[in-house]
Amino acid sequence: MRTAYPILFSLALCGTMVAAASSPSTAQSGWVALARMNADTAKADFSATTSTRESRLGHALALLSGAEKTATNLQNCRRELIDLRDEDSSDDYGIAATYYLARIAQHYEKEPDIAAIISTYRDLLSRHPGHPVAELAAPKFAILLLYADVASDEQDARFNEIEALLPSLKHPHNQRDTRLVLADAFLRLRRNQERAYPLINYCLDRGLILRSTRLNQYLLQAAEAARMLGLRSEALRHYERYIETFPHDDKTDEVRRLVQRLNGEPEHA
Amino acid sequence: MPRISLRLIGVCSLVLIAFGISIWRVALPRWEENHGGKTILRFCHWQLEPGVRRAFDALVKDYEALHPNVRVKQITIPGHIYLQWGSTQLVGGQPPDLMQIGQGISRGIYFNDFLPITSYVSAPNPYNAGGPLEGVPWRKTFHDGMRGSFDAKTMECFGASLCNNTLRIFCNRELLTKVTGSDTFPTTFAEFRQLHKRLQIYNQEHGSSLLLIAGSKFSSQIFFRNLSANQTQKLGSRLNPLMDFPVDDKDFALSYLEGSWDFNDPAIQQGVRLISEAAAMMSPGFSQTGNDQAHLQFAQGHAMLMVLSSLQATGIIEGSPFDVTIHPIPQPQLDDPDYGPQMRGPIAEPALKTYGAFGITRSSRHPEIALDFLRFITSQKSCRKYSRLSRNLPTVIGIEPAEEMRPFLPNMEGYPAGPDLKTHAAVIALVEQTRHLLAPPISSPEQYLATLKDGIRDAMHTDLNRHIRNSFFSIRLVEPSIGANIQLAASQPDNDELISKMSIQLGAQTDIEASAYYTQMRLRKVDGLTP
Repeated sequence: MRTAYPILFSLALCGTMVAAASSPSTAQSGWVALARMNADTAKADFSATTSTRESRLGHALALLSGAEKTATNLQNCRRELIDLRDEDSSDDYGIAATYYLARIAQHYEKEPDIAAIISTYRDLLSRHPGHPVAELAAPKFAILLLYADVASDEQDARFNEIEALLPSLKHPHNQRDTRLVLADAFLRLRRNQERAYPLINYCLDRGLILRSTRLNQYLLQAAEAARMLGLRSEALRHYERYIETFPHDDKTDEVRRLVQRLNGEPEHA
Repeated sequence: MPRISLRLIGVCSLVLIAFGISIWRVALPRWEENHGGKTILRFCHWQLEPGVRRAFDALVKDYEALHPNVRVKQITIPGHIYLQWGSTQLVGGQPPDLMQIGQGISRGIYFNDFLPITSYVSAPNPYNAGGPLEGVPWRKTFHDGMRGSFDAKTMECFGASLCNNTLRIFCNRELLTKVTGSDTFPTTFAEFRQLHKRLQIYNQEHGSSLLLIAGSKFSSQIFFRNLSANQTQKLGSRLNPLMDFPVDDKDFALSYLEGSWDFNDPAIQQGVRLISEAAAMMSPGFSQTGNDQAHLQFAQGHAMLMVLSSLQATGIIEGSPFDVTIHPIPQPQLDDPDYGPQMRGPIAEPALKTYGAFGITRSSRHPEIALDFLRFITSQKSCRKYSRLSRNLPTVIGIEPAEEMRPFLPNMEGYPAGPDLKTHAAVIALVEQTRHLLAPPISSPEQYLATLKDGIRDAMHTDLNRHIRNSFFSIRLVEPSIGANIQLAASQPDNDELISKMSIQLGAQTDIEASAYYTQMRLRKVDGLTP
């Protein structure tokens, strides 16, 4: 009987080594499946190795995929994320767990505690600057802060807070999305072309806007803002890029007329 | 010994025969595959137009000639039962290998039912080898870059399409010549009105009861929408302080609730008058008439015109015992004293966009053959043939449309369309229910607007709240997928395709989220819930 223990131990060790060796590939295939919204395959892949924090995060997100189907999925997802965060809130998986717990609170609670969610986003951004997941909070933070019913002074302060956040953002998609949320809010809530235009222009000049419907909207918005601000050459540059990028849009003919009109006018810029 | 009635024997026999036929129908494809040694590939769609079916038959024949071991079956299902039929097939786990996506199939969650083909669309289509599109990525061989087949939430591609359409008026040339003495078709709404008057005079003189337009519910919707969108061009731009272009339909509804415009606005008053005038040109009872009945009226020579999409062209042209000519819908001009003042100019048509892509079903037993067939039918050579036989505009680049199809090409010269009352289902339903007040015998724009006014606020509220709910649903739906792409991107920092996909997903989610919160904020103000 005594000799059985070393054999069992060796077998267990081998098993663990095999599982550990196969874990990156199953986690990877789990992420691929989840990226394609194939939650069942992702769940199976992540369940195969629940020993790593990466697999546990993947499993939790796979459960979140099925959260619309049953409340149990959401409960289990939340429990897993809380465990991940409580075990270590500052490694990659703890940070991701904190972020997704805030997203769940924002989008799955009947009456979300917006102040608490804002505070979590603010915390993530200040404690983990440049982290790929923590930084995702920036545009979400901006949306919650700006589209709230607050007094004008408070709104000013919020605009300034988001503007001050911009230089700290490291990832191009977060730089872009936070700027565009801010620009849209300047336009929608304040009709302020002057502060919105440089934000949009920044994204256009660096080729950060990839989706064609979005590029269509912001190229036209930038051109119109520049025209209204009297920046004639800037306006022409955006209009011409619009015509070149969207030669068959139903607005292109009108844009051509605007270019002709601008070219026929004396320079104001 | 008990006697068994003949009736019982008859009923039992019928049941057995029906059962046998059902088994035979279900088992035949499998039997053919197992014993005939051939792979059976099935594809289904709702394009019942004869030209489309014939064109697909021709492509199938070509494909089978190239691949003698494959037999391809075309299944056509009427559009009004496509959703029910398709859903049953998908749930039953035995759908055709390729299904046309649309009419409610997939409901935006493509991954449940279809396989993504994203990894293949950046590679060249092998069936374009030896031609001018050799080496060109499959995606770039389409006029719209396959935009119609991409799911914005996941940025995955779910199929390829041969379908697009434009809206046109089909005219019985003989009747036009008989009534007006010329085959010149009106190009402006004022001339169109003249044509209607000439027809009324002709009817009085000849004791006939010819109609101007064989109307149907579908054609009236597209005809009226086309006309009313030019009356809101200036109003739509006035409501947009951020640029000199009209607001979209959602902002149009929100600005109504905020009191920025009302039904006394000249744009609305004239738009309604224009629709009322157009309704008087259509056959009586058009809002309860189907396309088939309207087509019959037209084919029998009871009506001079029909308003339909280019997809129906072959059916109409071949099913009519007279010359059919194709024309754009005549629009009011700026010098029109009634309708010109509210316009910026005739509306420009957008570029052709594909729709109704064929997706490879998840339960397909031959996904690789389905992909191969999809590549074959969307090659330049096949698309040229399809386009010629179906009289559809080509979706693949580098194909010159046939002379008779040129009238279907979109006219992109003009001005952007104004907004319309078509935010979502509740407003559309209210407008459709009330529209009869604009048509004879009532023809009362005042009564129409008064009735609309009673229900429009509630309907807009319902639609905007639904829009917000749908937006939040999309945000939740895509969250785990984005999370996964972030993890994948962290381990593959040089994978540009993955990083751009993730970036686009994030941008789309942020846009949807910001727009939903902004709409919510404006609605709260409308409801007086905030200062």
